[in-house]
Amino acid sequence: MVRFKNRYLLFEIIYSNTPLGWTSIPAATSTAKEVANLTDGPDQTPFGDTGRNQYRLPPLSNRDLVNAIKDSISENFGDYGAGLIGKHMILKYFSSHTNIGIFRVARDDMHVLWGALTFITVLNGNSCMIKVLHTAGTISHCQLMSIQYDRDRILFLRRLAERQKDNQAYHEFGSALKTSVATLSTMDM
Amino acid sequence: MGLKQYSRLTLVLEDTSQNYGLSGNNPQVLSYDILAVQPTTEKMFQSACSTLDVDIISIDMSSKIPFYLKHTTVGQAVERGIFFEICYSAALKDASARRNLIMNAKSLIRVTRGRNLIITSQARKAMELRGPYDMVNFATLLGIGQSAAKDCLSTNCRAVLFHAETRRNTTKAVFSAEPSENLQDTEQWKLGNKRKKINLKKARATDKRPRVETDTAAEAETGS
Repeated sequence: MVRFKNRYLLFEIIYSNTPLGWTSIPAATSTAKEVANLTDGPDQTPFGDTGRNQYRLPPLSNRDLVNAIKDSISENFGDYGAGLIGKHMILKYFSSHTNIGIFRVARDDMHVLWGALTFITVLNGNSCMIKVLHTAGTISHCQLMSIQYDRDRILFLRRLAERQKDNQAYHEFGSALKTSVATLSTMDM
Repeated sequence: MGLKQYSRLTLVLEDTSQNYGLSGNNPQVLSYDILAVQPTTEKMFQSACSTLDVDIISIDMSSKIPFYLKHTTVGQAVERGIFFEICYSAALKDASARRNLIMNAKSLIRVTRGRNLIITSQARKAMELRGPYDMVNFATLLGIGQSAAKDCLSTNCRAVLFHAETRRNTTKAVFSAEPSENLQDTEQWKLGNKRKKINLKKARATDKRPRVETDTAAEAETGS
């Protein structure tokens, strides 16, 4: 059967001011509740402000992200890489609240795209690193992983907003939660 | 949780005429857990691979290696259990450093045949780190197979730690022993349950259950 094979890469963008415990604290556990019991004001560590008390991360549009990745590919893999990836790369989903996204790429070129993601150091002027969480052949697996991850992140943010008594952010995250789950479940499989 | 942090010393070796004092008895060297050297000339690389007592040989990847990597020399190091290090953080910022990294890493991989390699970051800041699976992918792009690439980040690093421990604590030994008071809390299970010693003859004599007559020699063999 001559079916075109894809790979879906689930990735996360981590900024320098992403709170330190961000990527590994599910909202429901007691650790999250402990972390949420924070004082206001900057939270200093040897690496600088952890940013735990500022839950608003820099906004990034889909187009900016795709352009950044295309630049990275042409810089690291040259014209050959740009040609290889160009047609079959699509950013299927990205949420700038939680910095999770899903890329679709042809199966043979997954490693090239993944390598280009690893070498990205700056996005829109903010220094960052991109971590690939999961790779899958169908998008449903990525969806499941990402829904779980997303939901935990948004709930954590929402709880932090609740603590800081920021009503606007609280409702914003509530609707973000609904839209993220809705977007993910209506994606093409 | 038991996260152990190790200390490492990296020495830059430039001059053959200087005695670097890397013997096993130097107390300053022994105070670090892991010992790494960074040779900058062919002679130092040769002596690091064949005679010096180190754990890691690190070559500066961001500029072109000034000497030629020979199969025989590198083979000597591999036999002695020394690992070669590929550092990736310099490549994240600078394009020419990236090219040099790929060039040098490929020649190192060719010469070591993908074995005895570790991948580290040599990061100055937290943002220069990358996730482990990202580096496994990068190593795959360099030409190591996927399982060998994963080894570079997991098994080989652990092997370096064990090599370091044997280098520090033993001399021409097959095993070493330490008193059981030195065991960590998380390792106390190794002592086993404290049982009273059983006198087998007495136990058999007082045992009232019916016993099958068996050959005593066979019994002794199976230890029953």
